[in-house]
Amino acid sequence: MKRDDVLAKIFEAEFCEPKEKAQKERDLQDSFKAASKQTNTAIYILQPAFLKVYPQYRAKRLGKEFPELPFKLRGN
Amino acid sequence: MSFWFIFVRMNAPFPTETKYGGHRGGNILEFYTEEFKPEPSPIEIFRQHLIQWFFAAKHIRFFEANKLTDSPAEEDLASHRMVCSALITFGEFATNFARQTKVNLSAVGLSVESIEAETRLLRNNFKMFHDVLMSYGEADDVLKKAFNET
Repeated sequence: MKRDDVLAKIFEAEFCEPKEKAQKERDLQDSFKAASKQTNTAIYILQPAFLKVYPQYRAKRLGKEFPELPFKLRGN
Repeated sequence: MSFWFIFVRMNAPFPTETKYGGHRGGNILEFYTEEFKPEPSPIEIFRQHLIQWFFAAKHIRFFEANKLTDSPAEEDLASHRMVCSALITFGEFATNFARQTKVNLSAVGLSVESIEAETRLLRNNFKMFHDVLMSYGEADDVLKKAFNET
């Protein structure tokens, strides 16, 4: 597992359909736990770190995947 | 997010006296049309609000991407703090209401679990921009070290 795998899970949970929310959010929690176990880093340190860097990842991905959005997103 | 509907209803003048021919003294047809106008049930209104809430949650993320990713303005951060808090609060109330009334949400493809999940995700959105536990640089360092990135 790489850091982008976890960031991708956050993105999927945020932008999935409402009916998929519960499952995608569970997947996200599982990936936090798996990353914590793999890296031997406490989840209460790892999770805030992921949340802090995530906006940059999201802006780039939105720019690539949703170019039709009426916003000038960074990374586009 | 549109809580406009509730706001308008709360502030609408309540007719205290019903006159013959309708509230505004119109004809009898207007009176009956007004009196027996079908209105959405509270459950239907609740479902509508939920759908609007999910829509608003999606849009606050577009707002974050557009306005808060790099060097956010103070007023944008303040707006985000207020709206995100309101969305989280609505999520908590909606979860409680849906559990207590056992309202059927499957008719609109929703569930109590989906409301709870979205509320937790919104708390993450709040932390992203209003949690001062660590800076971007410190967070990046934590992840580089954890994943052995050079």
